[in-house]
Amino acid sequence: MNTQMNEVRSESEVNIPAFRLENMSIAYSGNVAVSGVTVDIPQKQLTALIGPSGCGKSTILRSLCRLNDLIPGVEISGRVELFRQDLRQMEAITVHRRVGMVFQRPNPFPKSIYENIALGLRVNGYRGKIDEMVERSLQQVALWDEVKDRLRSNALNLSGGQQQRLCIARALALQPEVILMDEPCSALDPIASLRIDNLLNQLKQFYTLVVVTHNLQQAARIADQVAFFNTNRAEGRIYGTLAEFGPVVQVFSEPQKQETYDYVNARSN
Amino acid sequence: MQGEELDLSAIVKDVQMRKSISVRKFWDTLFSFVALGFLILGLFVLLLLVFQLFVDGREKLASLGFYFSFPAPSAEEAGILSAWVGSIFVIMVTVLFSIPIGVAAGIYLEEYAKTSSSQFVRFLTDFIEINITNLAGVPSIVYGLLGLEIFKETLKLGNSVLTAGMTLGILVLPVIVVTTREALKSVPSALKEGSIAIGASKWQTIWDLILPASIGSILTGVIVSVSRAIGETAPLITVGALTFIAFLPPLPFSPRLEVNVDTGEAFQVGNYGPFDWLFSGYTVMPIQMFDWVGRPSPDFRVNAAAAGVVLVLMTLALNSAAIFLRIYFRKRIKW
Repeated sequence: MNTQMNEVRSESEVNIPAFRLENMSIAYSGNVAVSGVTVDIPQKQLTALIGPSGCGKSTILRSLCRLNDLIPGVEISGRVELFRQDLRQMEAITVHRRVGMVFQRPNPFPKSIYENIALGLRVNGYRGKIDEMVERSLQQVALWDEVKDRLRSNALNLSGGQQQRLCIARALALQPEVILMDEPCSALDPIASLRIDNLLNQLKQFYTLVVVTHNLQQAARIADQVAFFNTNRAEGRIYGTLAEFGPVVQVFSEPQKQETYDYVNARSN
Repeated sequence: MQGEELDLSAIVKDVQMRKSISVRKFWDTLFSFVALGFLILGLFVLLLLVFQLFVDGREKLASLGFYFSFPAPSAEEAGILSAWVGSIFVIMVTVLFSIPIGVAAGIYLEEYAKTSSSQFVRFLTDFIEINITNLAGVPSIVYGLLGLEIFKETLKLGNSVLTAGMTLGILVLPVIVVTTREALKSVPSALKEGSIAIGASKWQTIWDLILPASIGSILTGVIVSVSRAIGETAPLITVGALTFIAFLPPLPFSPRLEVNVDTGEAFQVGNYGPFDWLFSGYTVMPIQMFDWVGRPSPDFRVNAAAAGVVLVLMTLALNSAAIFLRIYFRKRIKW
């Protein structure tokens, strides 16, 4: 599996951050959702975004792969870089190719298991052998043995955990540089989500992963870096800011700010 | 939570509320019977109507000649051949004309214009949406005038199958646009986002995922609107459908005959082109009926009733096709 994935990685030096956010703010038709975020998200590590509801974690995540373009009235200010390139100047489809996304609820296409992965390859004009790539991606998410006899059956017949792994495989097949995940386990049972956690722990050696989660235990299990966002009130409106960013041990054991301490401990007690 | 004591006595003691349950149950039952009564009334009137038509026209319906003879001056010989063939040809033009335009317009409005980054385009979309919804309610005879002016007078297409088909086409166009938009709207946005996230372009998303997921609803809407068009009379009278017609639109590549004026013999002068049927004169089922009903001889009423039954059956067949398609596509798509 190592050799398979190593050829995927071709990007430049290890020390440049995957994402660099400088004073990034996002507003939905004038209402600020998240404000003044400055952070470097390192390569080939798993960065967990945590924080209370409404703090803008998912909003940030969706902006990192330009999915917010679909929503009219979204305004983004500040600068976002993907491997030193200005993300907002890039072609949206290029961003989608380089930055994969896994959603909160598993959303496989209503097609066969095989087609779920092959479609992504085909729409991007992949020239290699699609069969091999399908098998490889399914093996990466440890789904191959479970589905190899029914690749032609509808993906919606899989269980929730299998569907989510299929969605991860779908993203992996395109050989992205970064994979973003928006609460990938919140719709899954504990056993299925543990399998996903183990999978993420393996994948982070080869990919840059950014995972939004409400589950602090999960964050502690899988993350290398943790970004804690908190909510603020101003003139009756709620918006989020980045409160603390650092290695997982630091954020959970010796947070620099009182608000981080309160959030982390209120949940884990 | 444990520190606060809730006062539960008020809930337990309220017998009054228990009593009201039986009263509400009574009203519930009463209303369901009233609703059922009106349903039966509506259905009964409708069934009676069809039954009456069937009884009136039963002799004609039983004779094969009725379906395969042209209209004639005497009621016994008159049949509906040119009418049902005309109806099928006209509806074919309607479908071919309105589906591509209507579905494409619906896709543009729902998938492209609505998420446009330009405020002006989004405003224009809202404006167009209101207008299209209104157009769906415009009386059909107004569309007849439109067809008369555009297709017959301006484009000089004459009293042809093409004019009639396209006039009915613009009649059903707003309905097709609206149903297409509704069908596209019902596709979960998670699916669209999933597709965008794998780097698919908008068109690839529409073609590979959104259309396959919504094609059932779109087709259902199209068929239901076309089955409305098949019974339309007013706009076709306006654009000049014929009422007495003893020939069929020429099939593509069928032999073209001409009559020698001196001898009265028919001889072949080449073949019809593939599109000649579009420019042929025509009549359709409702107009044939309308003509027969208006005649003084009561014998023709029998013909009209029989033609009515055939028309109802044609509509029924189309609607059954719609239901079948809906079930067929629903089975394949599930979220």
